[in-house]
Amino acid sequence: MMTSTAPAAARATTQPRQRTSWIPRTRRQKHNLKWGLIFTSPAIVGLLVFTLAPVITSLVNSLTNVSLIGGNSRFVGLENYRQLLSDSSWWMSLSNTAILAIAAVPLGLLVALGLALMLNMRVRGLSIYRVIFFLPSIVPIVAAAVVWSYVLNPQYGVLNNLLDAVGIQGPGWLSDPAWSKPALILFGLWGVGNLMIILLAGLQGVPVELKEQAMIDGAGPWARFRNVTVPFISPHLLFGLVTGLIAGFQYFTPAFVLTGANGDPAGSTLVSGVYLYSTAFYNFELGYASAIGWVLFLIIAVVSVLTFRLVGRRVYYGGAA
Amino acid sequence: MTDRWPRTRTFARTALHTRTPAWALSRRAVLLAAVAGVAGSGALAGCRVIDDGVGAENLSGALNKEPAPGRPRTIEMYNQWGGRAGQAWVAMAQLYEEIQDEVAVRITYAPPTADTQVRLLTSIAAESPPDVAFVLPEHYPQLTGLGVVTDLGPYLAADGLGAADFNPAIWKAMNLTGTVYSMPAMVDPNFPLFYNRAVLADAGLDPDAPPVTLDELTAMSEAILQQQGGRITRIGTMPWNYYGYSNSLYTIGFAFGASFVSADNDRVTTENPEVVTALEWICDFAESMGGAGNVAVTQPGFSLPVLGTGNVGLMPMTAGDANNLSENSDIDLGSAPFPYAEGAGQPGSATWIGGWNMFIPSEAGDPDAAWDFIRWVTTSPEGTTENFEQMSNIPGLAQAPALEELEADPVLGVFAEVLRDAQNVRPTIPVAGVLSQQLDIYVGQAVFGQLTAQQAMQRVSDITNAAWDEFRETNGE
Repeated sequence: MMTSTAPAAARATTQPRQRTSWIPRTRRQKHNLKWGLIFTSPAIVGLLVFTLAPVITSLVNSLTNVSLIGGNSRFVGLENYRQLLSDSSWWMSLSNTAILAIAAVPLGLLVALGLALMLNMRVRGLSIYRVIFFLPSIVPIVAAAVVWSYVLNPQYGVLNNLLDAVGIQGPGWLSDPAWSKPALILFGLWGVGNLMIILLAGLQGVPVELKEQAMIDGAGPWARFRNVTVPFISPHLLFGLVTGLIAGFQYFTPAFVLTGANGDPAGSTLVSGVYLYSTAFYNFELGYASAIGWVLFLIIAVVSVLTFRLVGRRVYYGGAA
Repeated sequence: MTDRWPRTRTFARTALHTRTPAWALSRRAVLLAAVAGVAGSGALAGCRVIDDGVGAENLSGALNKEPAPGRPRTIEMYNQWGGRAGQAWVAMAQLYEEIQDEVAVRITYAPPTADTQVRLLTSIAAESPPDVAFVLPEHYPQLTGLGVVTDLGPYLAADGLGAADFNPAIWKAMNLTGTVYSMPAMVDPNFPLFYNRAVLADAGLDPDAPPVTLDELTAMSEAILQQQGGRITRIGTMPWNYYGYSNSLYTIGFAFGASFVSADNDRVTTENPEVVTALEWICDFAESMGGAGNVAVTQPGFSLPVLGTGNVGLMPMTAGDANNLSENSDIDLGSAPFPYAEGAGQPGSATWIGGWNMFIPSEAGDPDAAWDFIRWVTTSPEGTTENFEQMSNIPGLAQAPALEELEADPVLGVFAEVLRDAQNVRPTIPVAGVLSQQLDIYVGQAVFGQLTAQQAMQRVSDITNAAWDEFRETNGE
């Protein structure tokens, strides 16, 4: 596997580093800074008030037993975090989340890649096909979930009727604990349009000359795909993998809409996001819910770092140079 | 079949073996097939929506209301109901404004998110709550423990209201925390057993002889059962699906004479043998019918109660649902008290009181005016009658004129009987939300064979009691 190109590395070592200072010295720089801050102040204030403040508050809350409404609260240190270790519902939710993420992300990547490969073909009316495949990803997720609750209906749903047509008896997708997670994974494929577009952009950046050289050398379609296409779109695949895992661990809306806040049936769809929500809004345990959120954040951070460590080194960035 | 490489790149074609095999589909065909699949799925899903008979006119109309102008006092009520129920609360407020000229009522539509009144909770947290809101009776001890509800005891005393004025089970539920914090506005005497006479007759059963015991219920269900492939397409009843797993267990548990909390109401006792036996009965029933996961009796988008599908024989229903079904379908409904477990419970033992109560948040702007509105809705002859006629809401007031109307109602009359017999309430404890959530998880796990009934109920007890201990430690007894 190739690493970064030599000329780029050479440039990085030979060119003198410009020392820049953000402190304005001239009158013009001061003028620019003032107006720059004025124009960006809505975003800065929004970030501070609606992101940074809640993040800090939730961190502080996670060290207390504060309730969502009323009640007494006191500093409990790491007690909430310690309790998580013995909370069977939390372990259940974490396990469900991990299963969904681990199964749904690679499957989503494969389907998105398959669609992108199809849409990278040169056929008449291609832009129409691209729009059609992209459309589901812009349907509001709640509306899509309601439609899918019809699709997944065991007796009258389209999916089981199609399975019936080929002699397979479809399961009770959302009513059977053994099939509820596969149902959610299947529903997740509905929204691969965004990733498909990213991969399609990557496919269009694969140099045609290299493919042609490979063809001249006798490489078949699979060999060309594996040895030419995949390395060039590997940064896009890594992006899809990392953002997919992050989204997977934050999974919430489809489970909440399709199977409710208790993770029906039998807790099989109780994912971490839903457990956090029900802890805060059903049981009013805001401190404990904050701890769940922070542990989830740490897990996502660790998974992201591990993914970069394990997969990132196999990524070929030469195509992006 | 032609190769579709762009002309500018055809220089390599001659050197390569790129002939398309005879069996291959064209790229366009593949794309068209995929598009057709996606579009077809969506179209078929849309076509499968079943008309439930509820017209759009029932869902329109205002769910908010501005206060009558020129009144010296104004209160606000959060209305969490949409559709006809929500409009009925607007009508109730208008009637209240007509009978007096002191207090105006603002109705604010505050719909719940998956059973959570997020807007109400947020307003309480922000110390700017409405004057009147709704709470499940078993949830108010939690709010009481957190100090966010107003003690209604002094108001009741000032108006001369006491135990003699209410149904015994309702009064018991109102007083489980020592004093009264909420008033019954929408009483659910849970549950009568409703049945579809046509389904019973089709199964060769006597439609005028509903089951009296759980054994009879099982026998009738076996007669009604129909399967297609491995799917259950017609079933007698679904005792795991009586308004969720937790309400199912309460109903069957009470039928077995079970108690879910200790006598002094300070510990959850779901591990008790009666509760475990009740859950075992539910699990055995599900297994004998072919498994809860194989039930496929409801059309997608069907919003009437499941008895309306014509694929279910007997199910318990709330008054609102029974009324809805009788008004919006031509199902020939029969009703009877819910069966009991012979040798464990007794006739009527399965019944319990649920519903929604009205309360005044402790930071309410005008609690006196709020009480006057609540008192009118829940204890005055005019208010209780209007509440019943608007929405079939059953009053908790023992002498309410609406109860005579209820008794005479051909569909809802059975609720008067249930209300008289009801002795049970769901556990009214400060961690009712935790208990409900754990029951939903672990009853489900037992029904699907992942845990034994004993294991499931022990876990519920352990988790809920631990949460209760934690609540006590933080907020006191």
